[in-house]
Amino acid sequence: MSVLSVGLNHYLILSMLLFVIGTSGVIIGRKNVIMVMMALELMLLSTNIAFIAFSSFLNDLVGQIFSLFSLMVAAAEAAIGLAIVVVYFRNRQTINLADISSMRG
Amino acid sequence: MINVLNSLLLVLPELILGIFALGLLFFGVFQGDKSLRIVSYGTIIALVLATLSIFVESSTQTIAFRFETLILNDYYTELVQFLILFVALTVFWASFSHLSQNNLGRFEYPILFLLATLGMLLMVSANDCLLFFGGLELQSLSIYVMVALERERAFVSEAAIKYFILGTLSTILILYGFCFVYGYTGTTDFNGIEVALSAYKIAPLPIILAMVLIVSGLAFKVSAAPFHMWTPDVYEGSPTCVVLFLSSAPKIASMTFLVRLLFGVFGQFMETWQPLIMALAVITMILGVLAAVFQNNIKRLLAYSTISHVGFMLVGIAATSIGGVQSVIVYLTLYAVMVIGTFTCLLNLRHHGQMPETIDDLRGLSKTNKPLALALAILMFSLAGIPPLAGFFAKFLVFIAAINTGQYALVIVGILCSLIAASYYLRVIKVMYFEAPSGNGNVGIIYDRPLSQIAIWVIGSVVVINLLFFTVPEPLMWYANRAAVTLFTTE
Repeated sequence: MSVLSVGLNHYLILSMLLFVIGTSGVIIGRKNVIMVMMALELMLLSTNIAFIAFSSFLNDLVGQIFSLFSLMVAAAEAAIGLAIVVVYFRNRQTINLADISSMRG
Repeated sequence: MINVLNSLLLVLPELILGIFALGLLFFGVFQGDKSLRIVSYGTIIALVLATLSIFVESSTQTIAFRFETLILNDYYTELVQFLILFVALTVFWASFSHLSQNNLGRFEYPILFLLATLGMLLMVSANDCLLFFGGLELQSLSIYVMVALERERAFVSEAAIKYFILGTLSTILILYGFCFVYGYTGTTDFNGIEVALSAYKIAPLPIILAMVLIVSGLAFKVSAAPFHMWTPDVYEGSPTCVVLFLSSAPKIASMTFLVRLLFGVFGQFMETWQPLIMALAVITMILGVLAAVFQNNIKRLLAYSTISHVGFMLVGIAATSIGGVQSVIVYLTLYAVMVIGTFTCLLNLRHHGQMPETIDDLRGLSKTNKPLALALAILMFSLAGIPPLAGFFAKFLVFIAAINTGQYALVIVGILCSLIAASYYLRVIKVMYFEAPSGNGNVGIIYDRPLSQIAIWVIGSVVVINLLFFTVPEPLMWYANRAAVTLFTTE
């Protein structure tokens, strides 16, 4: 593998980087819920990159089917997540993560 | 043609739930919320039919793959599916008359309930990462909506946000784990993965990574520490009807899948994952017990008690033997029974529409509502693991299994934890029996509403099971043993 050609490892590294960025977004993202949901989407899509890279590397279609499947699930998840955020906003007039802590203990 | 029919026969419970869910949804959309009653009865019929259909499919074959190798049916899946359906049926039966009092009187609730149950059945019988992922998502997405369904209360939507974010995070962890397994073995079929991995003596690095990711994702789902943060908040915030459901059936589904994955797919890397499970078990037991001691909110207390019970179940997995798996199945069943009883009691404690929030709200319950106080006291004793009750046998089996494989340290930690755990269960009993109904100047809350017929049946049978389990433990033990043996012979 020459330095310039893009191989499986490059895709996996890209996917892992995106995954780590997404995870840190969920963990340290303290601004608002939408940011956290975007970080979650980023994590989901990073797994898709890895799936497709493996699929093309293995010459096997299942990985691509899996990524289409998880895209569909991601859409459903985003719809439900945003709906919950809308409900929360109606009750509290804020979606700031720092305020989502009325239950403690 | 015969083949297709045979395949369909093996997914009969799933098929029934799916068809009923879609049909009732169609009906509900046209009729609006006034159809809640009919949709609820339809749900009960669907669950009963699905439970019965398990016996139909079990008479056909012992072990069978259908739809290529997508679905697996053996004694293990059969038993677990039966448990899930039975628990779901009991939970729905116990809670559906309370839906409108909890502002959950929408026709979507029973349908989401059916879809979540369908997802759990698929999780259990899946023999492929793809189908498992589908079932997991169907289950969790339905439960997110069920938690958030009571839209007017801020607490509820807060619990829903927390549950949604952490639940999605755990799903993605599991997905990433599957991704590595797929990349390394080239297949998503569990049997294929097992065959591909059988060439290795020691677990290769990507597989270890995948195992860690999948186990931590599932640890989120069963609320094992350190991935338990959502549990107390969700239990406290969401309506009791929903907590009744989400503390019983999904736990069975996720825990049994964890067992199947570890002993089936990753069966030959036992030495690799055993320390991981042991660490999880120890952290979960200690954290669950210590945090519960300081709780005043009754639902938070039960949440931490769930966490500690999950820790005890993990001890059974860490025993890595047939006896260990058997004890986990028995523990899950008895735990589901106890939890259903406890939350049904809470559901029926009402004073002017108010439910008890803190443990002090139960003050003097023994004087205002004798039968409920007695039932709750027996259940608390059982959860604490006091001898002849069912909860004791569950713990006993787990510890015996761990001792037989030489996990003495785990057993010592477990016994110490259940000693501490007894203190907070006994506190509830003390508050109910030895404190006056009205203290500190405020008027005591009197839960003297007579129990409904359904509540009497559910609570009564749960209490009887708890009291008399020690006289006839054989049937459950036998079925659990048969299921556990299946898991070890398919390796």
